[in-house]
Amino acid sequence: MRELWILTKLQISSLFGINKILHMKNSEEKKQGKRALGTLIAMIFALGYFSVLYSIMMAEGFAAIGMLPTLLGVMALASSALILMFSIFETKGVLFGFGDYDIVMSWPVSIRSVAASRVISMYAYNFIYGLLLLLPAGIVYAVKAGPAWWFYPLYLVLMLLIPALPTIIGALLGTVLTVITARAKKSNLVGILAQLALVVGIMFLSMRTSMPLSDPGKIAGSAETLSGVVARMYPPAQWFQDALTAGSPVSALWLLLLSLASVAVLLLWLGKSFVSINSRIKSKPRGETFVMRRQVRSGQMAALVRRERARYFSSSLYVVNTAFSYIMLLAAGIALLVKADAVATFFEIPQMAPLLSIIPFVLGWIVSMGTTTAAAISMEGKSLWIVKSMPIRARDWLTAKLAVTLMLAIPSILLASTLIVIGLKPGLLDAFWMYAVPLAYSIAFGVFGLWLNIRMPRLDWQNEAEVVKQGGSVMVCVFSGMGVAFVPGLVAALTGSALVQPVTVILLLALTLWMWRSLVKSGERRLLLLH
Amino acid sequence: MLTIEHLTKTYGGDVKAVDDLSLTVEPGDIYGFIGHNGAGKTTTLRAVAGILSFDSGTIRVNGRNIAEDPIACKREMAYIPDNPDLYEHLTGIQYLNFVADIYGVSESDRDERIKRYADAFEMTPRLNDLIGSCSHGMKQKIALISALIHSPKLLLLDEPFVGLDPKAAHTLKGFFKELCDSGCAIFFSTHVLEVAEKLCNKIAIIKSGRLITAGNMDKVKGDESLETLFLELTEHA
Repeated sequence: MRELWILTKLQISSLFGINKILHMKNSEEKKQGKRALGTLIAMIFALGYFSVLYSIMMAEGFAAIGMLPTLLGVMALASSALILMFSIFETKGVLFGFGDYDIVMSWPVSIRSVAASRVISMYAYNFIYGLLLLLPAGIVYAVKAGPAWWFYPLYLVLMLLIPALPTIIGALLGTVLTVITARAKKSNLVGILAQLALVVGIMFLSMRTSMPLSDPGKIAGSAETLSGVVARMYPPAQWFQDALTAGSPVSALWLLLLSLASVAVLLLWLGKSFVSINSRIKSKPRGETFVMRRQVRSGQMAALVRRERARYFSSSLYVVNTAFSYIMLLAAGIALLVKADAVATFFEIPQMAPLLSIIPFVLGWIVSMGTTTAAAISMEGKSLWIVKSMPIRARDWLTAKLAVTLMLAIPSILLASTLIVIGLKPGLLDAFWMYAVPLAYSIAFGVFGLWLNIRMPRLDWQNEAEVVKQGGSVMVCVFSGMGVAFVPGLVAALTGSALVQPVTVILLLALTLWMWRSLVKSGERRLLLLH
Repeated sequence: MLTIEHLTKTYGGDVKAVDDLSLTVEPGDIYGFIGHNGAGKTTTLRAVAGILSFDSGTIRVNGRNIAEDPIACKREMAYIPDNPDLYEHLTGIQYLNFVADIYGVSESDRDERIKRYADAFEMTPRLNDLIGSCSHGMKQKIALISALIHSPKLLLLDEPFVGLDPKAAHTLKGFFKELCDSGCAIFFSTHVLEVAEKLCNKIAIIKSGRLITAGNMDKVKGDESLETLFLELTEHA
């Protein structure tokens, strides 16, 4: 138990890079670290605020039809789905193939303790993500329902249990994927495709739990359906709801037992196969014997872009985390091409005009989530000395990173927007904004990602998940995108003004220009400070 | 080739990693830089390589100030840290081509140099392997080839012999001498005093960030062995 505590402490110390910030000696780094931490905390609060708003809206809807308890079941289901996806991504990197594997495994500690400490680390991150949905939901429910005193301590206990099962299921699925892909010839490509397929599957299932919020009549129908879906799709969410709202001790016990049993099963399995799976991942196949042939020369910028592209595609976690947005973009394009009416009905938009004004911002939001640049500087990791010691301008180094994100974004936007234009047949101006708005978002968030990451770098990571999924700059970038798309989208939907799109594009481009100038101006100095 | 004047670097506001250090490396020098762990060797090398900012002093590479014109300085030199973390997702040959592209090495030059250095370090057959699958020594060899590929005028090496097998270490020493004969300057840190004594024509000893002696090997050590001198100076200085 003592060794598990020591190993877990080591893992937790890397949480959001807080330990590093606390122990920085250089005053400039310290200032930068504190700013980054402050931004992250502000972002968590902002997210919490949006989560509270969402819970209030859901609670109003459910309360109107006397089904307030369903709020807790739905939020438990939503947070579990989110955690499940995160855990699948994180398995390779946190549980397997982590950087300090050799050191950790050389210590006189049991394999089970090492594996358990990694699982606890995954759980800790997932708990924070879960907390963002479950805590506001619990508070809103408590305010509206005024439950008995025991609700509060029980809620805290069950809130601790909710992330456990999806973490374990995600780790198991992630492990299976890791094992399958480790020996595949194109292991990275197989891994990327398999993870994307899993995520698309989970998204498809979670879409079934979506419900219209504004029409009480529809809510009544869909809430009942939803209640059934919660119980059918994921019984632990129903147990969570029943234990808290119906005072069912059996449900609480089921949740507790299932969570503990799943942890035990995973640890038993990992105890036996942890070393063999890690060995499989670590042993990379040898390439074919090299025979010297004429090498081809290319320009400095082309070499930088090629290096950046190779880095991107070398990490299945990095690819899945960002390429998923572009798949969503194409899915949106196909959906609007073949079933535009059904989409309008789903979002309760009776006429086409508001839909046409909202879609560019939805596309912009999706594009902002796929920005690769928010992690691109951190991904340099311990190899950063190479670019720092080379005769490369910081501007070119940053441009290459921006180029990769645009190489992914621009073709996806052009394809998706074309499908939408064919499907919805808008006027010339609306068609123009269908391209211009998401393109503006892709450039703006590409630059914003760099602007953030150079201020919130994380170079001492042991696994890529620390920067790709848990990096402060990634979180700030993704959630800023949500806000920056939501506000003009809402204004466009409510006012129907034709000015919203041009104003947004101009503002985004002006901000991009300002951020890029600031990056170029301070790039050399900031690059020198990175280590 | 390299002039360091009054270099000072402070960490955390009060810990002086390098304190008023001055030295000159001439073309053709093999300049050894020795000192205890944490004495300031790596900090000095990183500052010279242009990858670490410093508080005061001047560093000139071939007459150019590294703080004012880092790109021009970097074109003239190559740096390898003590633990070269290379791009593990690239193969050896991809990495070497990347470095050659950055330094604008022509196709004929890169072909000739890759072949020559990779053959000498017995790395040619393994250049198609991912760097991630290479041993520490193999990575060190790839880093050394990448440093030599653009024929730098100044080589900055932090513990270049660590991880190399005896044959590769011998080969590297041969290249050092050859490069010096062609006018290249080499400034490297090492803990292997026997190597420094046999290989270097100049030596500098650093303790707690301050240079305690520097100059021609024969003058600095006199009749003593470098080891005796080093222990005497670092114990009593």
